[in-house]
Amino acid sequence: MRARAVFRFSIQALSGHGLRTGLSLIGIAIGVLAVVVLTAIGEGARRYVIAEFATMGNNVLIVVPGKVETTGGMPGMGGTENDLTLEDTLSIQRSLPSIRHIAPIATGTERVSFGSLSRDIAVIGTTSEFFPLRQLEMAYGQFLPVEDLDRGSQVCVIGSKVQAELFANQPAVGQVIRLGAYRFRVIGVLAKHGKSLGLDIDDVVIIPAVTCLKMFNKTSLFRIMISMDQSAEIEWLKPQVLNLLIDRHDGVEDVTLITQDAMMTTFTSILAMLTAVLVGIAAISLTVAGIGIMNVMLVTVSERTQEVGLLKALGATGKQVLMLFLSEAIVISLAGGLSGLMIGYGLLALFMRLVPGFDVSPPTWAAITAVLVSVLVGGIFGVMPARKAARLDPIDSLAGGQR
Amino acid sequence: MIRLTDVSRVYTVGGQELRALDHINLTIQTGEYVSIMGPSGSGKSTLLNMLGCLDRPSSGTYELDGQQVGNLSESELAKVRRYRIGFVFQSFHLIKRLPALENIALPLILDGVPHDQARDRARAALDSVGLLKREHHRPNQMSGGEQQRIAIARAIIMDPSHLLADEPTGNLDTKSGTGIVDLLEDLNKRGKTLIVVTHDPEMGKRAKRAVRMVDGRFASDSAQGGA
Repeated sequence: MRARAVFRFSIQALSGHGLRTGLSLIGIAIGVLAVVVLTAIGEGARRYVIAEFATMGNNVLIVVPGKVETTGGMPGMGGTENDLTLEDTLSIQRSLPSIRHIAPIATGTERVSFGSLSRDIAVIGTTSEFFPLRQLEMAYGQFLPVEDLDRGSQVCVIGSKVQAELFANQPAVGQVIRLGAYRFRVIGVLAKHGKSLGLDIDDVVIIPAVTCLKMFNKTSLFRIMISMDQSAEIEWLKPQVLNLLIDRHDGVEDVTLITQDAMMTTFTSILAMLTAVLVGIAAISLTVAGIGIMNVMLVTVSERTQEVGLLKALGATGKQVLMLFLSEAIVISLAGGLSGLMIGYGLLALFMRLVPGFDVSPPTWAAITAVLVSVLVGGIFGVMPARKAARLDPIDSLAGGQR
Repeated sequence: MIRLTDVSRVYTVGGQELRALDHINLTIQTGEYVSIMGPSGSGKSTLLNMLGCLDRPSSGTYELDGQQVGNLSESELAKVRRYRIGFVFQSFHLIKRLPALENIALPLILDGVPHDQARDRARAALDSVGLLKREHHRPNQMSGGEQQRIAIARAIIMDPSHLLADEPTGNLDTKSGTGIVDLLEDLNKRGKTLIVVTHDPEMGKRAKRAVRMVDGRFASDSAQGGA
């Protein structure tokens, strides 16, 4: 018997029981849908985070105030938390001359205005080092001048979007804008850069760090960014910086050091765990769905006992009967798998339309695996009913299956 | 040719041995027209199932067209049914969801004949039973006589040498029953062995040879005039 003929026969048999077939394939569809959507979102998140950290560069170390990791101690024990200060930055710079660039970063939000135009904007306080460290480029003018850390002049560099919104087509360099109560002279406009590390560089005003701290009345920096010539030097640098800061902060380890490697490792292990959980959920739901299919097929076989008898009388071998019923189970689960896949793709397309910039196209392997697994589920759970059909005695089943 | 030699078929029901066929000897030449009659439980259906290779002898030998079929495997037996036997049942046994043409084509499909070819041959068989206009009709859209004609077309689609009919007119009114008997006899005239199990004495009389069974044995086996 030809494969196409078997398939045809299955479709004809199943289409006579639309509701029953539909209900039993829903289970598979939901399982596959869940796998496709969740892996796609997981994969999307992974790509997003990797892209984010890739812009950070693997030769960069970031110092964040506060201890992020849990070390088992009681919170608040072991002394108070110290600020991460400009002095810390200066001290690192002086004691570790092999550092290539080091930039303190302070942040705040303030109302920027020029003429009659004004709006709220993210303000970054930093130094001239920020420019090479973040691999920025200028469109006009220049970046913050090289000056002592404690000397803050009233100058600023603006992002390309800010330039476009406040000045339209007019040159911005040389103009004076207001940030809250302060006046700043624009000395440069950044080239278009886009988002990186969660910050839209096009939509910021950059001012000297000390000015920024003063303006927002802050003592602690948001970050200190350090870069080395070689990525290999980062591992060497980490304990140096840490020990220095512990020393300066009265022996308390109250900072966290972030490297691309460490972040990636953490993130990858979280993702691996999520994937494992997902596989578990998928396995459970597909097993339940498979039992549903088995149940429907058992009902089908007992309903069609006479048909089995007839097929045998017409010369169908037990193997052929087995194939016919197995194929029905597989068609149900394949149809379930494909509809789950289609609905999943639909939902993801919708999601991408609603949340632009977050690519959640499902990985091809997930789609292929989902379909293969659904076929497998039909195959595995269809065997028992199909064998039952194949073993029916032709005489008894022709007579109506009394036994 | 059919040759049963000392064939018995014994069932065990609730510990009791039930001898449905009791040391039967029977030879039927190719092209014969035989009716098997007898009261219920006399073993005539068991005999027909045996002849149709749906059942095996408990003892004795069954030779069909020179081949011993008693010890063939299940799938070999299925092939024998496919190529050598055409069944006609009292209740037609058509698959309700399939149109006439596909019901007829079923044995070809099981044999791996390509779809288009199978349809063409099924159409020819449909034509030979005079129901070409019913091609796309499902069984429940046809009369009993028409359904039995479809079943006969299916029985002859593989061109088997033997037609086995179990009460073929049992579910039909007299008029359509006569039409079915005519059709079967016509096929017999064209060379097919026709074996009919029936309760109907009129139909039994039409066969050229009549076998009467009682308690799993032949009470009589006689040549007669036929129709």
